[in-house]
Amino acid sequence: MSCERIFQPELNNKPVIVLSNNDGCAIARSNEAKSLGIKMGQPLFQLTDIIKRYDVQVRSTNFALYGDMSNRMMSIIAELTPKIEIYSIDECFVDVAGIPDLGAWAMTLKQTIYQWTGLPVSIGIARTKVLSKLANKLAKSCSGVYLIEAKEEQNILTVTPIDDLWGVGKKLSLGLKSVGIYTASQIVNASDTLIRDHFSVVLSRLQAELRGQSVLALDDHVEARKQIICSRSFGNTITEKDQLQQVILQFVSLATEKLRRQYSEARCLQVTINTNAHSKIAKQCHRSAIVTLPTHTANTAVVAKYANQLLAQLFKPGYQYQRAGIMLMDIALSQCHQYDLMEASSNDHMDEVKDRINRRFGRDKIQSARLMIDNQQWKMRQDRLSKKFTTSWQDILTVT
Amino acid sequence: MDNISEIHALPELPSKQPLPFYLNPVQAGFPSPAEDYVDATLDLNDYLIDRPSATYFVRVSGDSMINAGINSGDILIVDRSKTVHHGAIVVAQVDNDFTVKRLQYKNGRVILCPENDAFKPIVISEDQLVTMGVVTGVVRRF
Repeated sequence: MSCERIFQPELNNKPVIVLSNNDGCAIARSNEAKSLGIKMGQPLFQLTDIIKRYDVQVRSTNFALYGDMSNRMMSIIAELTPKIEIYSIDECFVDVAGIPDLGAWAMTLKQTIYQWTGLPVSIGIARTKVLSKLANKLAKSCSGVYLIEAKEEQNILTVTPIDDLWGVGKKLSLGLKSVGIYTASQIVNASDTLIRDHFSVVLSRLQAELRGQSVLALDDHVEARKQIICSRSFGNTITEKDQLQQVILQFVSLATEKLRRQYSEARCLQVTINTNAHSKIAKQCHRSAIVTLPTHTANTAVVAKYANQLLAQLFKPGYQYQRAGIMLMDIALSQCHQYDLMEASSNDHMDEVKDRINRRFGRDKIQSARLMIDNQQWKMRQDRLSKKFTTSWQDILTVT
Repeated sequence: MDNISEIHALPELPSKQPLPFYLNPVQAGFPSPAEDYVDATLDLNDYLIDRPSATYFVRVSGDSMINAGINSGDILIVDRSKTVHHGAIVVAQVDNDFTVKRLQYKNGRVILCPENDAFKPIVISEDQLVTMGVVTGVVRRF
């Protein structure tokens, strides 16, 4: 949202929404849009009336612009701080140990980022990662900086519902409520036996973090993903198997990279292909198949091989495919599984090199040759894309 | 996620995959005597940009700054990290448009001065002033 407004001041004070991949639903809303009652994740087709009536400005997700602005923000933070972990496109953790006046320091950082990029950020500071995420939430509703002092922690946790905590998803939340735990301070005070008997190591780490014991280092996350899903609708339907194969391979490449990034491996692969369920004219086809891999693996080539086989079985000619996806399941950390003696020891090293190059020089700089063939057909729909103000000479701002 | 409509057993896969194998030829011979004296090539970015993370490019349209050496079609280098000051050439936001002008403070007012007699200065109050940054250079190709 802020990225859009920096270069398009005509969006200021107007309701603005940014759409998800393929222009499906609203994934970011300006305050003006929120007060019109537009919900997070609301599909675009439900919003046609509101958009017309209140002149809501609509933009497609502009990956080039957000990516570049994110990069700027992260490099400013990295310039001014010793240790940084980039957590997502708009979030990072910073180790601030040893900085004397943290409140003033954070205020300066916030102002610097705003002056150099135009991006308003909020900064939360506390003894642990989980607490700092909470501080960040509090920062959003005050000046943009919130420092939770150790002595203040207990009071804050008493009024914090568990759903506001980092790492508490739907499932964990239900589990906690079923044993009568509703607030963060109840987690703090829960007995070891209760946690051990009913929950996993995830919760005991969360408890430690809430107690002010830092157990999550930079680059350590509360929870490794249990499933990894890559799934997308295409702008135009696909009828050819070759094209579908490219899409699936791209997903495999993305998903296995995610897997390796969280140091884990998967044993189970699902491939899904769908026609457009909303079309009344076209023939319908929804097919999906699962395979158990010979061993746990995060190897792109191995997973791709099986994905290809599944696709070969699933694919039926004569349909207009609109969506495809893969899901990796049965995920375990890399060390704790058995190798299959018979399975070829594969080129893990090559994947690692590929990941490192891509992380350094940008996504998809190196990819398997199969993926580089023309992929215009299944490009996302992005009808309301703003310009690439910072990454394309054709698109830079004009001044008079 | 969609319902799983079919589950298949897969036929066995070959356990070995042939991979191409290349070796770099090893270079032998005398090292170049110039090797120790090679300087890095000149990079215009080094010359033009002080702070990459705060630097943006914009394109000029119009002749209002022609006497300052800024022509229509030129690319300006704008540094957001520099403090805006009296006499600086800035990119300012006026009524949802961006304009490049020389900034002057006079009697508590802000004057955005064109460098071309055919154009009129824009006078605003100090709290109306929104700048994108200070212009630190201009790039032109012939």
